[in-house]
Amino acid sequence: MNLQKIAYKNVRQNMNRYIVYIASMSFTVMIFYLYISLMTHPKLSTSFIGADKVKIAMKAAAIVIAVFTFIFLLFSATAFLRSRKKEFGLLSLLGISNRQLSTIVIWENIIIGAMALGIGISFGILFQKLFLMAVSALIHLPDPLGFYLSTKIILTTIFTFGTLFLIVAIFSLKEVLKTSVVDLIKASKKPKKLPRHSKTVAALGVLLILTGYALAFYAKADIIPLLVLPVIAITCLGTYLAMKEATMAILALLRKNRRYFFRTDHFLNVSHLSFKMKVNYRTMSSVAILVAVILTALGTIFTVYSVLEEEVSSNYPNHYELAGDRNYFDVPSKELERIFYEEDIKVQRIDITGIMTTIDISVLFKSYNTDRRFQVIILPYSYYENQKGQKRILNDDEALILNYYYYSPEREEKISTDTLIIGEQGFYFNKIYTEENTLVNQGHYRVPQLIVTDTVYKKMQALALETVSFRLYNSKQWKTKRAAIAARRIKKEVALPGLTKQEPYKLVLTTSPDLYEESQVDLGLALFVGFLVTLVFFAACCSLLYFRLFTEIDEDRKNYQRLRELGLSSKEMQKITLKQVLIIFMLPYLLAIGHSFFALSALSTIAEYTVLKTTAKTVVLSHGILITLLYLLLYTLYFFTAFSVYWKSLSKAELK
Amino acid sequence: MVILEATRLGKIYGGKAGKPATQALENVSFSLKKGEFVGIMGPSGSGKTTLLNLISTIDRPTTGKVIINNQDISALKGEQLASFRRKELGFIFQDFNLLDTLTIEENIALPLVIGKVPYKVLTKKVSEVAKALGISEVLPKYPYEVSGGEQQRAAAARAIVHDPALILADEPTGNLDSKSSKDLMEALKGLNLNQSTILMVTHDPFVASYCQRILFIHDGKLYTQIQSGDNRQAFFQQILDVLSMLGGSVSELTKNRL
Repeated sequence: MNLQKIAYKNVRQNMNRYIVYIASMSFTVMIFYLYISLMTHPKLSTSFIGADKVKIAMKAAAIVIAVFTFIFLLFSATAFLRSRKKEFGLLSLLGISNRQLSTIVIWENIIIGAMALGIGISFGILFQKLFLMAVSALIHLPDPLGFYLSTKIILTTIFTFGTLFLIVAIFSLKEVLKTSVVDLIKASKKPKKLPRHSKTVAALGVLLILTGYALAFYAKADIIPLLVLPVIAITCLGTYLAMKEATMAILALLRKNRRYFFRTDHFLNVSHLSFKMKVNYRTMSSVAILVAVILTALGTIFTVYSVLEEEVSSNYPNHYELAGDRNYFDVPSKELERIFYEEDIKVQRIDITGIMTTIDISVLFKSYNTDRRFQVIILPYSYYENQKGQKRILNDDEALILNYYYYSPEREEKISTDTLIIGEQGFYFNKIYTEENTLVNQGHYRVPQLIVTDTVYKKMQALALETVSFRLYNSKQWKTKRAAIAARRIKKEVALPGLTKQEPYKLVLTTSPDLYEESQVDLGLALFVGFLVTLVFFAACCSLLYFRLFTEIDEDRKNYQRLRELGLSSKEMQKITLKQVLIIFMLPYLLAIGHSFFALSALSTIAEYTVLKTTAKTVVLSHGILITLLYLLLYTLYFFTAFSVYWKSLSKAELK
Repeated sequence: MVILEATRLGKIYGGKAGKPATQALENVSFSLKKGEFVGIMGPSGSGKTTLLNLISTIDRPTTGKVIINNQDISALKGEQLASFRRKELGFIFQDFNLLDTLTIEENIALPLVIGKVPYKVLTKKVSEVAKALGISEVLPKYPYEVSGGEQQRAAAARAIVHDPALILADEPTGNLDSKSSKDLMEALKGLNLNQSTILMVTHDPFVASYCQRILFIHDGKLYTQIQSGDNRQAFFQQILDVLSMLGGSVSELTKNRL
């Protein structure tokens, strides 16, 4: 029997411990493989615009995955070896040299690494087609990315992870070699002391978390950017302290309540958990924070992805729009219509004309004390009703301002009503409503629109002010691939009059289908990449807890046996153990849900203010909840798998 | 009243898949009356521990049967077995087997808690047995904070707190120094006078001299048994005589065996 054989036997004998370790490593390998296969897909760079930009992002994400995997592997390998200290101590006692011990550990790692690589890559190849189809669907590629095998991808995966495994093996070896024989042998015999706790610190931890939550929830949009770092810092600190001290304080209280405590399940749960928390609180708080980051990040991307349509339509309500001097419309119009015909897109043409003038907005917003005049487009109410398809009661002494953020990003400020000077004439408005949307596309004419009744509009028309016209082509097919192609062709092929240096803006052409498609591809990929990266993080989080569980398995097993000898049935034992493990697994997740809820709430406050004007808090949070539930499902599945392995290993030495 | 009745007990290990069978125990019969304090002695490998395991329901006999408190334990399964163990048996182990996560008091209370005894009864019982075993002062402490002797007395307290029909002790003094051993044996004797039935496996002739009767096992068979008279010193000498007849090596007669 040589050292390789000992290593091989170790792996075989410890298989049920190794199994989850290997499974999570294989999972990471699989994700990495799929990721690389997407990144290097020959068709990816040619399938859509902006692929290069996306590729850089993907490369960065690949590095993040690799680095995180390294940290995670290092942690698990060390934890793993630590749980086997006694075994190594025995070998040292028998006179094994450090060199031989290293050989065994390295060989073990090679065996496990090879297994993980083999399984990971096999599953990667198995799921590759499905994966590429999913990506293609998500980013709406016209023809899906096909399955392809390349030795380069396989070799990249093997090389990357082979190196990682080897470095991890060497690092974790140090853990074993630096400890003396006595420590190795006594490792598990050291008496465990009951952890101390301080009620003040416990309260402080909870208070810090609540402060973080309150700040995130109530802060105004403009100070949130300043608060981000401090709030994250106090929430993290709070999480750590609460995990460490508050749980202890609660358990101590339960223990003090003797009537509660001296009942079978409470008794064992409370006393065991006190000790379990002592060794696990660090891992648990890290997991809470990591999961919070995962949920927040994914919730954000998911929200942006799913409100994309609304976002595009709110800024570009018209699918194809010509704006400017009506006299120049005819020539480009014909071109546009030709392209629509060629691309088989049914459009509806509408012409509208409005007055282009300026108003003194210090009349509307008292905080402005300049007398600068701002541009405005005045449109009659009938256009509004036509375009929006909704009615609104507007009297002659009332007006509606669309896109009014342009004037007042502060938006908290109330619009005051007064006489507006338009042209030379004053118009008194008793009431001015506001809306966030716009009737014309953002672009050169990105100015607020003042909607007045048709009667008032006629009076204004009589002043013979400058006008601006819009020719709108709207299509029900605007989200299709063809609509986007048409938009790109139009931008390329249609010559606009006056687009010279002297006269840049005789006509302005804006289209939304191409914009929609590009953002969809970008965000779709971001969502996908985000999902993959967080999945790796997530798998790591779960495994961290699992390894913690297994570091103490020997002791737990002894306790289990003692209790069985005292006559606790296997069923009762299982119930009690399940409860304990459930708390260790779920407590971090519950905290993470709280964290991400308030983080998303803060993000939505900013989003309402800048990007997603129409997106209310509820939208962001509902997407956050969806992500949370999805991950909770995965987490629960993992939990039950982990628990059943743990339980099997615990009750292995069952009494006959 | 007979508490324990072992009839023609036999245990064969192995013998499957071509492996040679080992007869660990053969045709052992004996019985314990209520309030008896009986020791089992014999050289290493004689089958003492196997016998104790069969009685304590941790292992099942190949032949014969064990009746404890009028129940045939070989007929019990799973749930019933657990329930039987927690009602009728009390264990004292060589390495104490106290739970580190519980205080001494909680450790003692454990069988009662498992048996879902009401809180009031529970505290009363625990303080009673703690007093009887002289460990009232260390009740709020954790096992690692008290001496080995106190730990073992706590284990003894745990073994009797639920008034089991039979207390089984496996080398209870194996990890104790001579002073602690003596204290423990005095304590057990005290319990015995209170009508507890105790079956103890030991190597130590001095410890064994506290018993009323000793069964000697040799090569898996019941070799002989001796009854204590009034004089413990004489009984001790008697034990030594039998042991030397059994041909036990000197090392096995030393006080402490690890």
